[in-house]
Amino acid sequence: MNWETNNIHIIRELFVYFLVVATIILGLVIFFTIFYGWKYRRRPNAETPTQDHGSKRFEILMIGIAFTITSVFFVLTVNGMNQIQNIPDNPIPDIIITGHMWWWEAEYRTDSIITANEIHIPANKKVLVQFNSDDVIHSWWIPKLGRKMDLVPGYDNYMWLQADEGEYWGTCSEFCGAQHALMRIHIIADSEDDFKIWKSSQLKPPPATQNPLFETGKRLFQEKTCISCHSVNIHDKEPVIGPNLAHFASRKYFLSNIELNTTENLYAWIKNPPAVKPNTQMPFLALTDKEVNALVYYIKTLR
Amino acid sequence: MRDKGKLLMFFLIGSEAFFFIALIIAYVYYRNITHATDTVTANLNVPRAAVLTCCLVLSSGSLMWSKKAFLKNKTTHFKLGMSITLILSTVFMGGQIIEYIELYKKQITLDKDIFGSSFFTLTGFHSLHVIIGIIAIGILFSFSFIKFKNLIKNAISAVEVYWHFVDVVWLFVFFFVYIKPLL
Amino acid sequence: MSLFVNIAEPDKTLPSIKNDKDRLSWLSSVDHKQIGIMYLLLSLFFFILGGLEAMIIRWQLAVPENDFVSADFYNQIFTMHGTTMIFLVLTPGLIGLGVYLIPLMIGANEMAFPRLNAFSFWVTCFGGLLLYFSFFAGGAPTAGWFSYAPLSEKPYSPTTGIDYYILGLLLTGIGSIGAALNFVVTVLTLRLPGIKLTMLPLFVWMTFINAFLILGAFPLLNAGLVMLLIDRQLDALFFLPSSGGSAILWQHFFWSFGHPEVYILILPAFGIISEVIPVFSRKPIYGYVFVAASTVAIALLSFGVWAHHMFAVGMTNTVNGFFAASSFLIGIPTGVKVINWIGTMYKGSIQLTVAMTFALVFLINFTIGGLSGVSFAIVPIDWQLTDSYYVVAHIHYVFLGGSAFSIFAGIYYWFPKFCGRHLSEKLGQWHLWLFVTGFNMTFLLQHILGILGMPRRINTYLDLPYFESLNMISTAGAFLMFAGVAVFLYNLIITMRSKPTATPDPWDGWTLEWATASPPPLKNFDTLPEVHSRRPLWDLKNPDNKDKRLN
Repeated sequence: MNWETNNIHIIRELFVYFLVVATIILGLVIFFTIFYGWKYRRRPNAETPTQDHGSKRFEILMIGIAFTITSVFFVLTVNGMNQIQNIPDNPIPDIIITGHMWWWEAEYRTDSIITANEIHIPANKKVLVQFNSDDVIHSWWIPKLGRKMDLVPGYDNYMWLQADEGEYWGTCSEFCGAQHALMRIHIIADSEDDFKIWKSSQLKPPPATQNPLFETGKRLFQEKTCISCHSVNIHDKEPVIGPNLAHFASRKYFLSNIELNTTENLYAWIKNPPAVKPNTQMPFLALTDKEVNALVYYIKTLR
Repeated sequence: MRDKGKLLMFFLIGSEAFFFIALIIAYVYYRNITHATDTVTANLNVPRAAVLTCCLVLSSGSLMWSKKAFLKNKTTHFKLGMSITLILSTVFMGGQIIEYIELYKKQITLDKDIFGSSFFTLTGFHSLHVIIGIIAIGILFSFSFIKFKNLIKNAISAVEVYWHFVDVVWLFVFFFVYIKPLL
Repeated sequence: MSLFVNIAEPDKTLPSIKNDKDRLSWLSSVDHKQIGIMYLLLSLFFFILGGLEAMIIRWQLAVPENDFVSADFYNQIFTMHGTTMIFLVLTPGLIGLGVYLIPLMIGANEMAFPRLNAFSFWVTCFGGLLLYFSFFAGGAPTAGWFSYAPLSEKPYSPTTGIDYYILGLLLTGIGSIGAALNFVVTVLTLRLPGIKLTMLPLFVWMTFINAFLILGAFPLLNAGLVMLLIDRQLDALFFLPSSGGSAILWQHFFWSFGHPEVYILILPAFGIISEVIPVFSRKPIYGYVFVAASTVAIALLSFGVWAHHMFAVGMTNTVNGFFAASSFLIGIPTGVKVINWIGTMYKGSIQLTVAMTFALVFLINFTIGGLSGVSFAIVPIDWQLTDSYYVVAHIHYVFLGGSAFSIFAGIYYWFPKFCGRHLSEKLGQWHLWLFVTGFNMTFLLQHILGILGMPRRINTYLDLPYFESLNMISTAGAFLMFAGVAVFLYNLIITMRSKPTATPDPWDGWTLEWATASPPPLKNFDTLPEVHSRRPLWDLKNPDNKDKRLN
């Protein structure tokens, strides 16, 4: 574990340096503005002050000081930048994250796991993430982990991600349309064992269920064209219109992490998607209560 | 007092230059990031474009000549120079139109690929400037028949500056669009 | 003597808006003073509209998970708020001051091209109206004021909003270029004999340099807009990555305009401050040459810093480093100016009028904006804080705390000249303190919101620690600003109803605009003093203590 190279620590350190210098400068400006404004306020019968046109030496001294300060910060900047963004020449990413309007797709390259929105990473390990976008520009930002990276269609961007064990939240940071504010990021940094368990559970097929509701739901999933936007196979990259729903029930949240993954929420969502999330691409399918029940049951079995 | 009109025209074309720089940058940028363009550039008729370039450069010369004639009060020479300029620039525009028609026949259009988008936008905006120039020269030319006395030096020199600018922009366009892919 | 330009209008007093017969004359006017006032009124009109939009934004964000307006409407509102404030409030406001004052300050009686001047105004005006017409034509643009492609492309923004945005901005852009051409030629050709370029009042100098920035920057925006329009209307593929276009090129075009634009909005403001502070300190500007030269430095550097808006798009460290260096450099001439303004106050005799207080408030608030701006040159900090509320706070400290405060200072300073009446100082103080308190309440805490992780342009947010209270204070501040503007409008109305009492030179000023009646007659001047220094009226009033002769 090398904390010196962790993004947020470098950023924090630089920000503290900046804050100290900026506070001093701002303090001086405030002090002199108020102090001069008070001390040299016009008094009755005041004489005209001496007409002082300035001093070249003073100006050059000031420019020199400003130049020195900025030079120091420039060196610090270049240093910090090189520490944070040191991507190898032919990067081989561990995770490929693709932005969609408005959800996140994650592909674990070595295991070819495709999942969405709930993204697990091994804790305390540098993970190389590749970013790209399927439609418009999005931006990845988890404030606690430091640095954001835009997801630009047509470009591959790379970034090192490292986190302590725990859950981290963020929101898309480049304006990407109607649901920009609800495009939340949820990262879970698992311990080594937990990550292995999670991975193997993703690779296993979901437990078989013998229930008429399950069969109806599975059939409806095909018939009601859910399948043309959502895959239920963990390895399927296509179709990419909606998130891959394999092991959907194992996720804590859904809808780009804005709703808890409960039966009620899921029911309300499938019943009338635009009511839950306006402008969503998921259409209102005019399903009967029975059909929705069966679909919810089916999806909930995808553990 | 200095010649305000000419000064205005200088700054205006300075500003316009930035506009064309942006369009040329877009063209060059797209040529470099996509591979499709090189196959498409093979469809451009470079020899004809070279002839057209000569036409435009000559028209700049003839406009200069007719301005000199105007200053010396040689009406006939002025009219002659203006008509040569008009003919040459119309030939240039005609050539451009033929180029467009040929490209459209080959299914290379504005909305086909990024080459089409950037090529037609760049040359289209240049042609727009040529047409504005032809109109301005045409107005001066017709004035020389109707009310020659009303023609003023400022108007002619402003149009002349503008026309040279259009010419120079074309040289850059010609270089980046037609010559560069051959190098 | 060829002191005067020949203009067609007869030599009569300025038509008044109270006079029924002359009301139409404003429509056809080519007089720079009337056009200047119309620019300022246009700016005020859109300032009110943009302000109301800001109130909707703050109301929506006052509490977490609010549903006061829908996401789509919120996006229209914040897009229009940004676009309005930048293109229809600050730009015409500063151009209006320039159009009114530059001929007066250089002793001319008109702009170089009066008709072009009127054309520029009306084009800007119609551009603004066209932009607002989008509300009635299927919805305003929803892609933000920088309208990033491909979000602004047809597949992702199918309504006509973006098309209105493009056309509106093209028109106002043409208007700005027209005004800039006029400024440049006016300053170059119509100066009173004896005024050398090195002797210009700083407001004139900065607007002059600014005009070059406009001439260089707006065509780049226009080129980008034209490409976007061709994409949307003629199905070209410039900014559509799925068909070989580039999403990044738009950003390069936009910001290579956008960053000079930031300076376009602040340089004339610097000019106003450089006029107001000396007059109310009874001292000449400290280090004229440095203030003037730093303006040129800013203008040149401003074309080389644009990509610091794009550090997060994934450029290489070399490119980032270059733009970081230029962004650091541009901070230095800006700092020089602040030092010189404070230096002007040193050992002065400071009269705290509303105009001067606005200038002092500007000094402090603009410094905050300038410093937070420098933090974006520190690339890792930018990576963390760009596109967060920290940026929102920063731009408002620059645009509102910088440009708008100095416009207010300028309006209180020059109002007697414009209208022959003094704005009430008492109401002015109310306006100032309500507005300044509200402004700092609204935006100072937004720095912290950004650091805590609130992204910009979100219409709703989770109830995270501190988010609600900080946003609530922010909204409360917006209401104080609203009240401040209301006081300002009331002040304008009651002042315009009072009798004109202003003397030609109420502030004991030094530049030529104070050498004529308030408001000036149609041809501006009856007689003009000979000019031998930067402060012609000072020389006139203090014959035994003249400034150094410069010509």
